[in-house]
Amino acid sequence: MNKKEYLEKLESELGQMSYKDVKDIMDDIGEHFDEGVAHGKTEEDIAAGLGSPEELAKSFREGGTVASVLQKKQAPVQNARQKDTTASAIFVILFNLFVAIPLWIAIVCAIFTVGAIEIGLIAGLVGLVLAIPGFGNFLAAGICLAITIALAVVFVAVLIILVTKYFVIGTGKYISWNKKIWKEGL
Amino acid sequence: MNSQFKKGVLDMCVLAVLEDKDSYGYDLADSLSRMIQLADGTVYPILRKMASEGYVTTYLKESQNGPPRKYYHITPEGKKKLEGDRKEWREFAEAVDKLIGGIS
Repeated sequence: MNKKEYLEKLESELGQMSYKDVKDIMDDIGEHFDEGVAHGKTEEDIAAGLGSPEELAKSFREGGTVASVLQKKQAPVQNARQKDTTASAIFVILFNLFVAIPLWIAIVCAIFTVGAIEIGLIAGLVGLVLAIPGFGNFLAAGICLAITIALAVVFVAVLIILVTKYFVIGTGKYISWNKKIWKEGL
Repeated sequence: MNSQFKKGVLDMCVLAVLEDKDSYGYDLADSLSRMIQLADGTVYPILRKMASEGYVTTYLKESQNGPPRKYYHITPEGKKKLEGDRKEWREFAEAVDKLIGGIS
């Protein structure tokens, strides 16, 4: 395709643009050909470098449509996101108020109760050990009982340590989960 | 490269080249197509759109050999637009780099 053919094709593809617009575009693309020839290129090479006249005409006709399409698509997404976070903030507040915080308090109470039992067991063990020398005939039975209570003390202590550990980890994870929902929605 | 990628940033690239110095269509097409793979014709609709939006103005200037050239000059609005686009692009590119695991 030479300059003349390219410009004719472009002109016919521009369609219902005003005469002035079409003339301006013809001048610009015509100048591009002249510059290319001055740089030692052939008209055919320049035409190939410009891209097809159909596509070029389409770009001229559409002007800035690509940018406006992208903006239109973006706006509703942002709105929807904002709605989502409002709803999830309400969810976080209600869920914490009626489920998570009462549950959390219940677990803390349970841990303290088991702790109190542990203290009771230790006190009982100490009392028993102190009383053992006066047991006389029941010495063997007393020692057996003391060992049993001591095992129970160790078992409850391990239980408290494990439960407390996972409870603290769980609380931390729960708080970061809340923050995530608050910020990003469900 | 994906043509949708290019479309969004070419306006900014054209303004950036013009920020440096006034230029004419053939030269702009040449500078851009040397860096980014695109058809030479691409810049003309962009220049036309930006002229109608007031980001660039045009004037004719005699060339040494041959007919006068149409030069493009960036306006203060065009510079403002370029600054805004540049900032937005840097933030966007940084975020994308982080997401795809490039430069951190």
